[in-house]
Amino acid sequence: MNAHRLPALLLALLVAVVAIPTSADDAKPVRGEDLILVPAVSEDLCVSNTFQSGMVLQLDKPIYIWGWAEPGETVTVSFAGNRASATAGIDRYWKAQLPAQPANKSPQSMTISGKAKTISLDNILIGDVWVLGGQSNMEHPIRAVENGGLEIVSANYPEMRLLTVPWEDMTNPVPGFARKHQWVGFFGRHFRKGDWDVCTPQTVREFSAIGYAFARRVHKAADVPIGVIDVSRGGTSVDSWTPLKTLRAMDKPWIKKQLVLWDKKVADFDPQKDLAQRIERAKQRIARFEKEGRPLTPADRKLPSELGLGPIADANHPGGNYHGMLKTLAGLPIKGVVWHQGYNQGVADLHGPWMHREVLPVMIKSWRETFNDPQMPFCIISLCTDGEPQTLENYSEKMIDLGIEVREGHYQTFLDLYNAGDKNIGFVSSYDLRRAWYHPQVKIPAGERAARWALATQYGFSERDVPWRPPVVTSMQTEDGSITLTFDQPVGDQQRGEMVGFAIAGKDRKFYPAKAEHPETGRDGRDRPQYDKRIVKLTSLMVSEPVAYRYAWGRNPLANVQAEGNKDLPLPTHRSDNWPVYTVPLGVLPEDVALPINRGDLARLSAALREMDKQRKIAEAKAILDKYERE
Amino acid sequence: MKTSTMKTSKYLIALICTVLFSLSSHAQDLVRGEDLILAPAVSEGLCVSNTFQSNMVLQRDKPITIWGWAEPGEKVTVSFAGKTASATAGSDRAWKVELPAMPANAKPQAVNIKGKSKTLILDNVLLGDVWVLGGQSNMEFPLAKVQNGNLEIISANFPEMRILSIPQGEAPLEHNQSFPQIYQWSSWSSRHFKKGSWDVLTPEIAKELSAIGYVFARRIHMTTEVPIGVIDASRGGTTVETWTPLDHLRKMQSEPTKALLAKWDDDVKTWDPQADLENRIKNNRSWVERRKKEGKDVPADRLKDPTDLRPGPIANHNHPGSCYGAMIAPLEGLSIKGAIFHQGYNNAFSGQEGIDMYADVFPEMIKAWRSAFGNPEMPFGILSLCTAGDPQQLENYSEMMFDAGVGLRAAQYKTFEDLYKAGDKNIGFVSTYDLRRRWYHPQVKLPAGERAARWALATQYGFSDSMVSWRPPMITGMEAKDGSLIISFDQDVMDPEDGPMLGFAIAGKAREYHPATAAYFVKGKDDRGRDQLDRKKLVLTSIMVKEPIHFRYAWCRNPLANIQLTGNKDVPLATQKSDNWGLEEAPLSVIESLDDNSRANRGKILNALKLLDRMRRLQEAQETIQMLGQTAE
Repeated sequence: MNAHRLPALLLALLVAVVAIPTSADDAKPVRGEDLILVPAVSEDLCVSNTFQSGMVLQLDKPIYIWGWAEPGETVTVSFAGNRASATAGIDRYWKAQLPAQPANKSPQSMTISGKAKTISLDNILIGDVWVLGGQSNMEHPIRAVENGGLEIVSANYPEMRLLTVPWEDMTNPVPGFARKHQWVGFFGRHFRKGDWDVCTPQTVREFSAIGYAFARRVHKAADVPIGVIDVSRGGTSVDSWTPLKTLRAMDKPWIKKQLVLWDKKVADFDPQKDLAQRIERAKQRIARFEKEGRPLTPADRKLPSELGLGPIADANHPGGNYHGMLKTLAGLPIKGVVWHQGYNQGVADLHGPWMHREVLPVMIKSWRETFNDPQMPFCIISLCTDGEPQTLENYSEKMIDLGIEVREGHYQTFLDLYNAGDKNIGFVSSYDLRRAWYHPQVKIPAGERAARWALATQYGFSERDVPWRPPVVTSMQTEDGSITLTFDQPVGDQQRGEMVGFAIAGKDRKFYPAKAEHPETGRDGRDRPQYDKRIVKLTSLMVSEPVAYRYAWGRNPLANVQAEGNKDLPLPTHRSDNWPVYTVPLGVLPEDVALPINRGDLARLSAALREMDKQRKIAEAKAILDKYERE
Repeated sequence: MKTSTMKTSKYLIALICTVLFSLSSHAQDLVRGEDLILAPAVSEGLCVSNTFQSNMVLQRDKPITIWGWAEPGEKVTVSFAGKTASATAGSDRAWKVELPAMPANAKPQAVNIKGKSKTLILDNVLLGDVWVLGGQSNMEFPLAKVQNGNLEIISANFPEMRILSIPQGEAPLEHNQSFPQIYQWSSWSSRHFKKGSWDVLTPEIAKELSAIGYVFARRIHMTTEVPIGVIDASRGGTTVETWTPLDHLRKMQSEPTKALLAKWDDDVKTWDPQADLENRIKNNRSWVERRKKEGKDVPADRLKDPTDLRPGPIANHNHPGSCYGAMIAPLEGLSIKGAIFHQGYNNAFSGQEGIDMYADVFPEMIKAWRSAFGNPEMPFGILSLCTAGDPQQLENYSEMMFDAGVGLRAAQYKTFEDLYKAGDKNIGFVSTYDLRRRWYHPQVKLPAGERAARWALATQYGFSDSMVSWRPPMITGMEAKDGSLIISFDQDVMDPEDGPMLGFAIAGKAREYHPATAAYFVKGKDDRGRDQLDRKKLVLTSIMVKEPIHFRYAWCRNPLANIQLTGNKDVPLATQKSDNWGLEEAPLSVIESLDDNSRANRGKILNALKLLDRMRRLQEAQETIQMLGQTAE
């Protein structure tokens, strides 16, 4: 080795050692406990953990930096040749504003100086910052999805930076988050959260698959640095992501019921009784383990001794995640948000879809306010698949599922905003990326679709290159025992099999799978039939006078209609009727059924739908026999 | 390529500008129906093969061979990356030097080629991996025309990826030594294509690029962070035999291959250029007369009789060995990393004979390519034949099984399987039949390229199989038992969507194939009395087949089939079968009535298969009524 290269090598080694999050190795995380590496707020001068070495700052918007110091202390922030000062208030909080900067791929440093201390942040890029919101399907890590391994090994993107915000609830005392190894009981392991990481095959493994695919595509096409902040959290509901005050101001029935429910939970909470119950559960667990001869660590044997916070600290308390997590980013200039949520509105309460429909537009508005941009780009990825696939065997039976109505709510929310002139609302279907697990492992295409929306609407690429707008039904006609739909663009099965996914019903509200065809519009010079692919005619052997249709109406639906031209643009889950779930089909439940309906009532509806499938199969079999007898 | 006798960089830059300007202004010089040559295959005086140009990628970690032509006896000195090698041109003007192997380098460097009175400078040269793309139109098929292709195009900012498309040509006998840089006219597409030039990848260049090749290469590039050169040597409408050197074919002891050669030899021998010309004159005159009669315009060039004598079948692009001699031979001796190959459509026109010939020739072709690039173990990835035509459904299942393309696809898998089992560590295989479109250029190409990249990354770049799976589940056994057929695999299989496993068909001695119900083999019960399943074993049954003896899987050109390796690995079970019945040998009832007219046979077989579908649907309808009718309310 050349002698003159030695110092450089030593320096490189030193940098490498320093770059490793040292505290992670010093202290070993303990099962059941968080290990805090950097607290949300330190004793003396500190900056919010939103701002770290390795971060991306939003391009072309004023740069805000905030933190905490001694009350009255003057803090000076220097970055990219600019300097700004702020004075800490009595709550220790300070916030400085620096002028907007264009995109910059070369790493820059920032210094934050107080009375007696200077903080240096380095390796800072200027680009676009995207925030990811939602629940576990947004969180779902790249390592656990189809072709995720392939993405991981190719994730060499020094100009992409990733941050996953730790889980916090409404009791989070400050608008900030710690950098920590967070214990997640659900998975029985720790997750490293709160660190801005350079995107590498090592750092990307646990990152959101959808978020990663979205960001790396935008990064490659737009050729600017990208920062991605994941604030999603598994098992959370739409109201938990909306400010509590905003929810309380809503004059809508289902969110009012939801608030009453939670207020009662909070009021009824008895910390002593709760502790006693937890001690009892722990004792039972220890006894069970001993009986089964399973090993118990001292930590396992420790009985709970601290009073719990109860429902107020529940992730799903209305406003809980908003105040605990999203609020830590409030005021940060960002490019936009990609949102993927809904599962919890399909399971938690039977009125979930209706509450979801009320809250989602309000939530979007409040997120836009949180990031100080009333027109902030916001993309809804509608609810994904779950459960056994719908087939022609179980078609009608599979049409009852609250998750479908949540998914419909996603589309309707988009349509309402879009039709009202919102240029920055986006929509992506994911129901056709089918898996039976409630975390369907086909995620990369969903991220790519969201990227197409962003590239077309936010980065100036043409919709011809990156189509994203789903086909929309512009009119519906009912005549001669059929329903004819007109779309704003040609549609079809891109595999050129039969179009499947439509169901039609008569006044009895019995939905059966429909035969869907483009009607012949005429003949060409060589007498070949001509079709207008914007028109689809629906019929069914079982429905003589259809009055309503539904499309992709299954949690894991049998549906294949897309925009024509291999655009990878599915027709969204939607319907023409507004019949409440408990009235389909008519006559199964009494008109005065108690709402929300209970699980027993749901089961009665399912049985009626199963019988419809059976009757249809018999009718279809008879039709085949008739046909062959005639021939 | 730029030539320079002066060494000042100013002059060089001026020259580069001139060349760039002249390249971009060629559009106006293009004449319909004619090629425009930018640089001939072999120039006067000192020149280098067009395989080597500015912007190229040279294969890393292997000796670098560079060749060209000069005056007989002229000494040529090649310098690159601090290394120098010399050679003397022979009496045939050819010279060839070898430079030592060098590691990957993304920094642009220049190659200097110095002769007696002239120096050639190739600049912006990178060191990385070079992959060759082979096959026909589905390999050529451009990024701009596939699903999500434009998304890839706008993101194609990869300055360390370089592209070269080999011009089309025919040379079955005397192989071409080189190829020109050219705007080549394609009468099929009725436009010019830029060929024979090494280009830096940009969104503009990406548009015309092979979709599969682009995705494959950009994935490897992103993963390895090594410069990648892609040489696209594919050509639409070509057969496996045209990509195999003629002398190799002549040496083969394969009856279907001998028959094929005999037919071509006969066509060549009986070719009468004069009669052909007279025939064309006749046709042209009657065409012109008809147009005039109909009162339609006649283009001026059609008013004159044709006068050119044509070379006939020897110049056909599908003459055995033709494309090899014109498009692969000029690259012989080049160090590359490997090749991927996607072909088959044109061989599917020849029925069972075509399938039998394919099975014999394809392994020979692979061997010949490996030998051409001087590496008997060269990595070679096979992408089996893609979909075409109406999708197979349960209604038309048996009828849709009759298709020579399926047999061909199975022969491609068999070629892989045989080589792999014989210990070939560098043979790869990727299915594409599940990337379904009805057109014979299915527009779902990106996933095929990604799959091929997974194979390359796992076998050639040291990435673990757990990150990049590629090896398809392989069938290890078959057992007929109690009216079912039990198939064993070396790995777990499933429908990744957890629906019914589709794609297997079974037949008994009557050779009547019906779609099979596939269930996991029950190996026992657990202590709570629940079935324990062996997911490496499938039990196949059909109400129509009492005693199955054989299976076929994904047996349609556009098959209804969904079985993959378990674990969301995106690795489909390949098209394959256990029987050795020829295309026209099933069902058995038809064989006796076969005649010499293959079109008539086709009709007979299709009718028999349609009848099977009908019988099955009838049977199923009866069972449905029987089963459900009893319990219906």
